[in-house]
Amino acid sequence: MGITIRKATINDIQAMQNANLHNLPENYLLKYYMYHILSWPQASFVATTYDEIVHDEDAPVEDPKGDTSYINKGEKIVGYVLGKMEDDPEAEDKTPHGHITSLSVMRTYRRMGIAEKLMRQALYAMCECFDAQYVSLHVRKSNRAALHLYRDSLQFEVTSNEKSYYQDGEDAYAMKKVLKLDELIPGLMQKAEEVDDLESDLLA
Amino acid sequence: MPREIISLDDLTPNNVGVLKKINQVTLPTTYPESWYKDALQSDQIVKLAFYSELPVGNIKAKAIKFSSKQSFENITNTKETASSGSDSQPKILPNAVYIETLAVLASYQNLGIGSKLLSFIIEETKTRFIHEIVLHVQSSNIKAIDWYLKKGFSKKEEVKDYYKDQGMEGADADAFILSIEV
Amino acid sequence: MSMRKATPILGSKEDIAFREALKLYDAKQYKKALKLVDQNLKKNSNHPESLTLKGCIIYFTGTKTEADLYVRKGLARSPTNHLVNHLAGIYFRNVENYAEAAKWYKAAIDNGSQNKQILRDLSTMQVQIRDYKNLKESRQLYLEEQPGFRANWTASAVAQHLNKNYDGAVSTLSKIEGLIKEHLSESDKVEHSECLLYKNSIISEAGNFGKALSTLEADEPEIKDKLSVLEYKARYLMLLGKLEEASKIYRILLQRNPDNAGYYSLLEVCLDTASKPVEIRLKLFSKLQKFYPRSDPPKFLPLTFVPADHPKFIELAKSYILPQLEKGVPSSFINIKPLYKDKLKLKAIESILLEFYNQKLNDKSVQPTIIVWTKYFLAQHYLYLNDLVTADRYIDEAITHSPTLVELYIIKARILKHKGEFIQASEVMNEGRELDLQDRFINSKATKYYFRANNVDKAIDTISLFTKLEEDAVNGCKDLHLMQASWVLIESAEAYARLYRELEKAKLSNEDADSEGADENEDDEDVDEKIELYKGLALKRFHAVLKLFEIFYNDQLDFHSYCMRRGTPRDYIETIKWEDNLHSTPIYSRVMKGLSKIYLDIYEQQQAAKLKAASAASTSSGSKNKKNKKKKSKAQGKKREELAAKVASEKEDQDPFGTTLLNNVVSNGNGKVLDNLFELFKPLLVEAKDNRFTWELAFELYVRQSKYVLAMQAIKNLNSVYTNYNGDNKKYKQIGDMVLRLKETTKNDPEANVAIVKVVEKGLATAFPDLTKGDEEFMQAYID
Repeated sequence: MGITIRKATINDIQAMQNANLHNLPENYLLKYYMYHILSWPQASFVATTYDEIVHDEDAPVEDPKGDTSYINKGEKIVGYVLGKMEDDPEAEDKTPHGHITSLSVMRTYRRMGIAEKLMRQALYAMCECFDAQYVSLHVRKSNRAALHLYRDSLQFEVTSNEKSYYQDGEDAYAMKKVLKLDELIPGLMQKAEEVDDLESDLLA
Repeated sequence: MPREIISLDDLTPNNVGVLKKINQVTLPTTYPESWYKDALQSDQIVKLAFYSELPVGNIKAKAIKFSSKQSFENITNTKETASSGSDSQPKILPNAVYIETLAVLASYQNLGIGSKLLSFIIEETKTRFIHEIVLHVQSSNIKAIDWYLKKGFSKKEEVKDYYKDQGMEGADADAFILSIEV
Repeated sequence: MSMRKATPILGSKEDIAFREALKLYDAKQYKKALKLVDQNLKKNSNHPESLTLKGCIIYFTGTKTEADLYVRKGLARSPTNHLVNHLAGIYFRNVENYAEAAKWYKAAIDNGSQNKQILRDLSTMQVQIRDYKNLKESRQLYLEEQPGFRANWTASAVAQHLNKNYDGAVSTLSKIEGLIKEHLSESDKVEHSECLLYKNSIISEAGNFGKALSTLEADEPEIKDKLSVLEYKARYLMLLGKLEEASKIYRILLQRNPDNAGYYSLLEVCLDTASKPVEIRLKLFSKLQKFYPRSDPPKFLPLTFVPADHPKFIELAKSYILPQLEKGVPSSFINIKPLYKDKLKLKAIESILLEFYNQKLNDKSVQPTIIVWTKYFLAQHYLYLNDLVTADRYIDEAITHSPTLVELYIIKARILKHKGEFIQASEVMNEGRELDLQDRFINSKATKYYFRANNVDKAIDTISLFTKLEEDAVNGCKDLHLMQASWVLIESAEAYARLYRELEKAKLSNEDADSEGADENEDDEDVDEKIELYKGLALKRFHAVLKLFEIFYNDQLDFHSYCMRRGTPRDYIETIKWEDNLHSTPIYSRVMKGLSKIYLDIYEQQQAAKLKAASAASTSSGSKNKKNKKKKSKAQGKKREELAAKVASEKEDQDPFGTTLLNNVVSNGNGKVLDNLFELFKPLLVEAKDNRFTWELAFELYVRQSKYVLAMQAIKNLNSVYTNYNGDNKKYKQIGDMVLRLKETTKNDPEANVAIVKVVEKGLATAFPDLTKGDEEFMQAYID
């Protein structure tokens, strides 16, 4: 199944909530997803499958699966990042900055770099659309994979250690990354041997 | 940033099932639930070994007082009564580290995972200012004995019927005590 | 509500006390407010404002019926008093009767209230009930009242847009743009950017792409959301036939997001490569792969268009799949599965895999993880082919090889599920779960498999490891309801439904076996009780999901004005559309599927009972009923209490077992069962017209309700779902069966209206001309 990464829309939020409930212990009401999309429409992204690219002529028409991860027929959410700008009037730091509310990828779709790609899209969008100077997030101390992603792949820094941040008593690392727009263009982060000059004839 | 293909990590209440699974499929001995509960106590020296992020091996050891055959047996007998806790035991200064389990899944042997676990325990022993590591091994397990000998262990003595209560018979029930000075 | 401005000159003491009470009400000091209102009513029991306010207060402190009574009393005394009207509006808004709220807000304004805030509340009610026509008016009035806020201009434009008055909306938006241009502060810029894009989306929705493009280019410097600018621009250029220019934009978009498969397809449309030889397309994609070596689409997409017998297919497939196996990508099989629709590709990939596997098996220096991931792939491959023996062999070998790899247990469990071994499957999934207690994904899988094995208790206990526990809760059941875990609710509903059906089936076959078994009354009673329990719980859980959909619909309420202030009208419009099609989400159909089975079960049982009663009117069922009411022992009572704690869906759940719910469905009886079911199902007729299930269920209901013309229409609609999808006129057996069934039913219904029967007969003959050849030949045509 091909995987595609695109901006999240209101049509995705039920499946995003479903993915969140399947993957993570921190859950939110659907209205909170609505609040994200309707406050910062550019800051959230989803990874979905696309199955319909090969049309099977012999197969009879099937209704979409009654599986909560499906948005449409053949289109299933396998990962998402829910992003926002800091909007707490009591927040200490008034410089505009982003926050990652939640990020998860279904276990069966890991090791494909999906989480990193979702994050890169969100970081770029927050910086471009909302002038986010930096982005912050929390991560469970025991979550090795997430720590590796944020610290090693995305160059976040640990800013503090928050005792018993999670409901179950686990500590969190607060992490942060300073954003600079021209260093964030996702397509240029792949260390490609050749870069598209955006002009030359692709068919030549 | 590439990660090492073999890495060690802590045992947690969340991955103790992995320790259980590895022991189940690699060791002749079966351990009671209490043994796994104890594995999470702070007086235990425990690590899981990961190969390409997959847990494939473990080591579990603890510091003991080891002077004569007699007292050694006392200590090892706690294998069965491990849950009784350390309160009831007199405070004794440990002089050896005893390896209870060192196991690597069959498909992942000969890749240096056992060695990595062993070096970890050697370092750990040194930091506790202890100079000897001891363990039991099934007398019939030639492969394992060779491996330990190659690593510098030497045979101390043989304990007859050590594994008898595990349903083992004959030579399979006997064990060697191996030890190494570090 | 703030009424200071609106309060007319009041003289009487009652009015002064009323104003005081109103203030207290606004401050949520309901007890004190009530005291004042009651004093007023003691003096003048007809004081209309006090009566209405009392209703508003009692809504929070007392019962709903009582509250309703007072509000209606107040309205009856003084229907044209704008204070009474306004309070009534507030009251009905609180009870979520938005149509009624709109009516009274409107009345308040019409009856001379000077409180202009009411207009805003009115417009909120009007969007909520989709009364766009009147919305436009109230938004316009409010804008005239408060033109100093951009939000009011946006709100007015949104109202015009919803009325499809595109020019009006664009002109409203342009007007405020002009007015505000010189006064934009830094913090207004995001809102400004969004409003410009909103205006642009309306121009294009009106079909004027040329103007949309030129406006976009002019506004571009002020728009921050460059992604939207680029996507809009590329689309307009395509629609205007400027493909070359559009292709350049898609290349920019790819640089921003090389993992969006849609951009690659659209780039191909612009370059018109789809019609060109495979070699040209391959060349394009090899370039794109070089630009974006870490992205999946440029590697995967060629596999979809290169035919299996093309000399390059094997090489391409290898370079896509094998690195994933080497890296241990768990989705390596799922990733290529869509290609399996092409049988030749399936075969080609199978041989690639087997060759790779054998080669690795003989390679002494191979990383062991590659072996296990390959076995894992092969197990899924054979599972896909429904070769369960081979699939099982590979997965067992894989588990022996790497017993700590959680993913293997997922596939092993799935294979067992395919074999129908649901209990064993759940145990295997749980074995996987125990290897990684921190991962909620595998916990969810184990939970789901316990549900499938009808082990609801174990399922809930398992998932409760990840839910929040209130102090007195015995498990996470309440939290799962609160957190809107619809997948859990629906799985448990289906499990309970299977449980009661199993028991009913067993009971029936028992009854057949020993109709004399008088000794087993005790057992029978137990079984009946269990059937009722499971049936009630199944209903309750299904209805809990329906309740979630009500919540989801109501969730939009706050956003009608929020989005105007926030300046996010584009996504707001999408939200309105999404809410209007909420029931088309697959999960709603799944609930209706489960729910309709229960309702139809009840209906059929009632029909059967009716027949029985008619044939043997002498044997009364009264004795049986009496027995059921036999006193329960204390121990049983306690057991029941413990059970209630386990299954309750909210704090102080009045109906923990769904007994009342079930009784309501049953005792509404006499055909009402179908009407009630139809009410729940109705949204699908509008929102899910493309789904087979919609018309299948519609047919079942209409036939039973003797609505034969509608039943015929349902068949026709189902038939066009088929033909629209495949573009052919294949004749499906299902359609044939339905046609004949309808024909027979109408013919054999002695009460059917003759004219209607004629209409159906004619209609069927026109729509399905084969019918004239006689039933047998007809069915022959429809066997497929």
